[in-house]
Amino acid sequence: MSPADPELLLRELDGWDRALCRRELPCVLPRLLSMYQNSDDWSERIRVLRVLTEMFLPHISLSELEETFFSKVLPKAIQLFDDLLYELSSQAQGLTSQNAELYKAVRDVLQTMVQLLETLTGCVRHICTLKETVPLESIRTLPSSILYVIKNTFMHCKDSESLYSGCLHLISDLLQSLFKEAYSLQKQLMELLDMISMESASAEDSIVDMVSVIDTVLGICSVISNMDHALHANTWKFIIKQSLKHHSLLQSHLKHKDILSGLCKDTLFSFHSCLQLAEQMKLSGTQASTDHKLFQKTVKLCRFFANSLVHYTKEFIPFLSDSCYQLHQLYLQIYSKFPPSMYAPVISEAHRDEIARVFLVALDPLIHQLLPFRPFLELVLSEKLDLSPELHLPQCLLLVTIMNKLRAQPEDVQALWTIRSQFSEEVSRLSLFSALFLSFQQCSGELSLPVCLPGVMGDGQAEVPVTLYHHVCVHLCAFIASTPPSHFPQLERALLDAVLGSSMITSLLAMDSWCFLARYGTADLCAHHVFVIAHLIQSCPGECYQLSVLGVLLRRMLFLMAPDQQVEFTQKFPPRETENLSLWQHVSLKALTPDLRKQVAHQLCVVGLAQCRQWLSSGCTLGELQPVNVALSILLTVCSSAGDALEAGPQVAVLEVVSQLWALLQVKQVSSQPCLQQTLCLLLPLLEFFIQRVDPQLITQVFTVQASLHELTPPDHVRLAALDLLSSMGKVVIPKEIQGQVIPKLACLFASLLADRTWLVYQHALEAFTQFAEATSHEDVVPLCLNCEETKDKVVCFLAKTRQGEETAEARAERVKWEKAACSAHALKKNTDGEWGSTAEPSAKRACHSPSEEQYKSALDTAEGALDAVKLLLQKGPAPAWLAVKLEALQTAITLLRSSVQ
Amino acid sequence: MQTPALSAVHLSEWQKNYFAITSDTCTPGQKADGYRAQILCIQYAWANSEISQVCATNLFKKYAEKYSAIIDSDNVETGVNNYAEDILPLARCQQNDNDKWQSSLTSSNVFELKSVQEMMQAGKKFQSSLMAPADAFVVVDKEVSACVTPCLPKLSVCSNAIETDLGASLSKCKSQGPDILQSPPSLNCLQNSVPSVTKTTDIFPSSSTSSNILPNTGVCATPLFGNNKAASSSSVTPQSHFGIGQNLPFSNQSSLLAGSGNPGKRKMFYTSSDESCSMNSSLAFYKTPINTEARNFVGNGNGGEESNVTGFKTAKEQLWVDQQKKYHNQPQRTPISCGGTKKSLGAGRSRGPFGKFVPPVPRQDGHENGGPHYKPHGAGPTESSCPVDERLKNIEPKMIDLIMHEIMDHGPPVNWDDIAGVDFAKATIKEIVVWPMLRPDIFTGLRGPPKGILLFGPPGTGKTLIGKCIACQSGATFFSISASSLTSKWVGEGEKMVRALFAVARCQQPAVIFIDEIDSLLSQRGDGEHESSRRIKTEFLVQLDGATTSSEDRILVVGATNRPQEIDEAARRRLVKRLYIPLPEASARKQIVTRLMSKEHCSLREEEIELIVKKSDGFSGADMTQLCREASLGPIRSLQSTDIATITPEQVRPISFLDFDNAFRSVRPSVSSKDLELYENWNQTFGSGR
Repeated sequence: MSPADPELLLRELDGWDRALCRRELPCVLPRLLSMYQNSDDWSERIRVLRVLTEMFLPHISLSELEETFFSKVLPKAIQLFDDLLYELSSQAQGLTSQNAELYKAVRDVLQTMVQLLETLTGCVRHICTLKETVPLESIRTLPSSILYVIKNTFMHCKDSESLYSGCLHLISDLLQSLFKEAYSLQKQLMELLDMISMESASAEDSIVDMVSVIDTVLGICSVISNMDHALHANTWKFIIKQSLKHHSLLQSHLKHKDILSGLCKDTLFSFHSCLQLAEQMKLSGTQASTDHKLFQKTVKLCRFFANSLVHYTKEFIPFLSDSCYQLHQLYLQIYSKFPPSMYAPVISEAHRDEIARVFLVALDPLIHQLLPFRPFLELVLSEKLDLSPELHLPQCLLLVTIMNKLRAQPEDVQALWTIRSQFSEEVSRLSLFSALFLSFQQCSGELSLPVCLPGVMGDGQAEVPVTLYHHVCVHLCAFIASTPPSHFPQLERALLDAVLGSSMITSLLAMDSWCFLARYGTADLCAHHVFVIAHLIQSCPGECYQLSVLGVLLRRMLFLMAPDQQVEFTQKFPPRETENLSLWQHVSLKALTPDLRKQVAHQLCVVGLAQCRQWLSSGCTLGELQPVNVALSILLTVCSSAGDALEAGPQVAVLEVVSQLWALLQVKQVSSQPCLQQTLCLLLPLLEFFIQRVDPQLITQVFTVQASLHELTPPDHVRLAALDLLSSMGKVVIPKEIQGQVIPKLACLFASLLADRTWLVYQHALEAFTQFAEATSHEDVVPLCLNCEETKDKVVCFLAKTRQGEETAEARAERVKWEKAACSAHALKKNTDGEWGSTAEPSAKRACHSPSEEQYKSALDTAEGALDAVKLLLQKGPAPAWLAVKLEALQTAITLLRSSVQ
Repeated sequence: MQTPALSAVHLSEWQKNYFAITSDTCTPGQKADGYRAQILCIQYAWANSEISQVCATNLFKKYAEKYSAIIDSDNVETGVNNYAEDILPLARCQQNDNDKWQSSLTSSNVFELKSVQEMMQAGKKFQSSLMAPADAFVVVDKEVSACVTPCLPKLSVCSNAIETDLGASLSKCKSQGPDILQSPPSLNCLQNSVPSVTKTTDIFPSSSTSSNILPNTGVCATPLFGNNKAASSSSVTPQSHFGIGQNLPFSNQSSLLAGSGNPGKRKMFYTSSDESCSMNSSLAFYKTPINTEARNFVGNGNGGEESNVTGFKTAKEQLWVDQQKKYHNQPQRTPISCGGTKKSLGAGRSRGPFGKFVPPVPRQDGHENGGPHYKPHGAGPTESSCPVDERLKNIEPKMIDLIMHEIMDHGPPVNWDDIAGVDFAKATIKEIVVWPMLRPDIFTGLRGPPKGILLFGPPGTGKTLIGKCIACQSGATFFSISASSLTSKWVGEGEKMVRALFAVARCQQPAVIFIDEIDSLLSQRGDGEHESSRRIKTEFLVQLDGATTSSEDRILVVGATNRPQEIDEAARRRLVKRLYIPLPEASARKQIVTRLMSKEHCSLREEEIELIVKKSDGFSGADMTQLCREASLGPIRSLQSTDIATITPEQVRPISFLDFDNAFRSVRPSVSSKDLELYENWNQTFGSGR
């Protein structure tokens, strides 16, 4: 019955029925196996393999399946597969349409590969049909080998385009079927693996197997990532399902980092393809239905990835400490490419909403889960988190969303986030408040654009978009409103640090939140804060930027104080003592109740006048001028904010002191001594306050000094101070006898200021001049001031409210990005070498250390490299539609750069 | 330095914000955004070292103050109220234990903060940079050339105390020796700078002699607008005084009511808010008393940027608004509804989280526990205001204002004998209106007064005059309404007005509602008419005598019309008493003429008057007055045009019969006999008179 010759055996076996096969199994099987082992003819091997799998495999019992069948058959099959593959890759280069036999050989090889895959699929399908549960050990080698085959097939299909270069079309049909076969094989295997159980005791090596299975499937995922969406999604679904199914067993062995990074990469990839599709549709303008359907499919894929990501992190959160970085970057990358970020592509409203509605909503729970996770928060709040510019806004928005979510969290989680890391061994991290202020400061570009975000859903009103500042301020205050008492110290420190920070807009935000805190908290708390700030102001040795910022904060807080505590404030810092003057100069008396205001105004006036008179009578040396400046600013505060609580008597006395002081000012000294310049800048507004009652002789003096001073081009703050007085001159009827002297000086002052090279001074000059021109009764002066043609038409178009230098949206975005870099560099420079209290004159005069040549060279090389790459791409294929627009934006950026270089 | 191209872009951006902020259609939120954009420009200019740090600091201070005026103010038009309305809904769902917040910052541990230490260093560095130690002793003095002012030579040696101590300082500088002064020539310039200094002071000493007249000249010191401003500021209706805060919806109606009980009471209200603005001018402490010649101090010295920060024109108004802001801010602290002890700011549990947001400046009325000298300002009326009138619950305050102002009548007093004739009507009205007012106890049940009466008759026969007379004589609150003020252009507004009218009337019982030309309001309800006027009619009828009105409501509606036949039958049914006001008979006409002529300078004999009365048959009351007026112009017409300018009133000749005769030629009766018939037979069918 068993003829020696294999050929005969095979032909004989064809006729056997099932019962015969089972009976003959023990004897026939070894012979077939040996025949299979040592035959080297591919087709014969395949035939033997098929016979084995179709006729004899069903009869092998599950228990000895592994040793009797798989351990012997599979290695050979893999080896066969490798040979075929090797054959293919070697012949592929030479394949051309001419030599038919090579072409036929390649086709044969492909054919055999397809058959091999079919048999393997049959084999796997058979095991699936077994009724009882299949333990992993019983099919230990099957999954790994099958996966090996699948992976390499897919790899082959993927680079077939480069492999077969020209004549892919000849064998594309076979490749197609090969791909399909691999596809079904993988599906079958996945189905099988779903069914197997791993609870058996000797789980150790099966765990290792399963982990390796998941790992190879992960590899497959990255191979097929852009070949077939459905397969890709199913593979991922398989990975997630398997790791979750055997959660307890596998959790410590799984390579979470790779899985997560794969997921993140794919999520980001599909998100970018969504954006590209949307952008193309927007640019091409046509709403091609195919594009739209593809777009919707990709968005659904994104959602799938987001869901699986969220699901995976929820299950394996304890093990994900080292992949927090990827999750954080993923979140930031996504939001940096999504409107309203400046770096987002231009897409239509509908698409944007669809992406938000479908994808971002699915992504949101990710943050919710990561809140209690310490490594994540240490990463987000770390001090040394330096992000590229486009990630600043997403980081800020992330912190705001974290704040919103934290409010619903238990107190210990809130403590994690808000308490700064005290213990040394912990990773140094900021409190949530300071982190928000820091990241807010970095968004200076987005703030000046301004970037608009959807507003808070008011009850009943339509949702109006709000600026970034408004958005952050509202959510920060809401978070402050819900801070538990235990976190309050952190809040205070963060607020004070932010107020004293280098960026004006951040200190503004801190001030607004502090005022909200003052209004929302108790009166004693507000008073306590005011006393601390006042104490700080008093103990600061000299004038500096932070001191004036604190002054503004004090001024605002005083408005919010309770009257009885305001009285306490005046008792604690009595206006009578001279050392309190430096404090009271910052306070606006409007904040005080009328009676208190009268008292304080009166006392301040007396002390201020005494100080000035004492200096006047004691030899007017420059050394003691500083207290006089303080006294003058006190008088200025009293005059401007006391309203009618200040009777006429003291006002006349103040005017008299002002005129005495003015008489002493000497141009040469003023232009050289910063201290005197400060006095001048205080005298001018005081004069402006009394402008109606200043006697003519003093006005002439003022204008002579001003005119000659401005010839020496004083520093910008002195020029600025002159403007207030000039604009108030509109209200004054200049008496005849001094018109001859004053009018020409007034005109030339205005002319020089209207031609100022610092644009801020020039703008304030414009504003002052328009106020003056509208109010003045001396119409003839107005043309005198506009001596040259250019200033004339500038003033005219300012009056007509038309603006030159209108810039397009793209140019504006480009400029803002470019300026953002300058701003952050400046902030860095301020913090590092702390040259805060730099001397009065602008730092431009000092040679700021210009960046070295190689920095320029390297930047330009990269730019050239990029341009060459684009040139190459253009030769290769048709350029995408949006390329022209991008080039045009680059063009404007280059012109801007060139104009700033000349 | 900044390149021209980039600075142009910044300039245009700044101007964009500037135009936005200064345009009056700009909402506070947009203004805040505008200021922030400008602050960002300043920050970038500083970062780009276009402007110096001092300049940046000054600009930041200036614009931050303007910005904070918007952010911190809770006035709805100009302020954003710290974005409270956005923040509170967000913060609502959390537990609010902000009253347990304890500050951990103390004046000692605050110095541990890195940023504070940085500030201290910056302060020290700045101090040294301000002035090189070498020229600490340089004297600040005047250059010779600059200070040669024409007024120098005629300087008169002044003799008062100030000049002497200045002289002393002069000698002291000289004794310090020339080396301190940079150059010897500046020595003598110091001399002439000193005189110029003394020159300015000499104005004052000469006036010191006039110091004793200080108290009475003090008037120039009080701000010019002091008095009228107070009136104008108090003319701001009490409603707005309380209407600002959103957390006070009910109390302003109640205070409304308290203020408007009766016209007299409102006056009191004004005075109370006025006395706090009075000015005292004790100026004794100043060494140099007021200089009378100094131009009168224009009270509204609003120089300096402080006052325009909050955008108020005059300091007086600013003062007034500030007090409102202070007092209105804090009703919660001593809430009317639950008095109790002074709760800590904003932490009162009773109002729940949403009401939580309370500006911290408490109002100190009632119990003084700090600042004893602190007198409550204008707080009195809110305390004693009657509890809210639930009948006014769902009526719009705006309409109530309208009704309060426009419709409540307070013309010159009219009494019964001013109305000539129509004795029957006068008698009935007295019976229906005046007596029930006097004796509400008798006139109850069946004897209760009717809800409505109708006066009909030809135009110009005194129907309106009767209405006015009812008002004055009955002492009831009198609402005089014309049909037009009830129908408004908004659909649905009309019947709300009617409902509001009757609701207010119900609160002000006893009330008389006089409606002129009632026919236009209650005309026959045909199908063609506009749907809104139909709704007004039904509302009116329901209010007049519908299901809701209670019988003992003492509200009387007096309708006057000269087309009674057009009135809707349902209305006719409700205006139970329909009195016909006929043309004045001879005696009535006689009475009108005698009364009018008594005030004029005329020489009419008795029989002439009789003749006039006879000739003026068919004249209505208005026609009679027109006749007398024409006659009184007679003497004027007879004068030549030349001496019209020079003649004194006494020289004009008295009015004679001749004038009346000519007047008869130009004045015709306005009522035709046909109209009269119409009234006659309407009176027969529907009239309730004789």
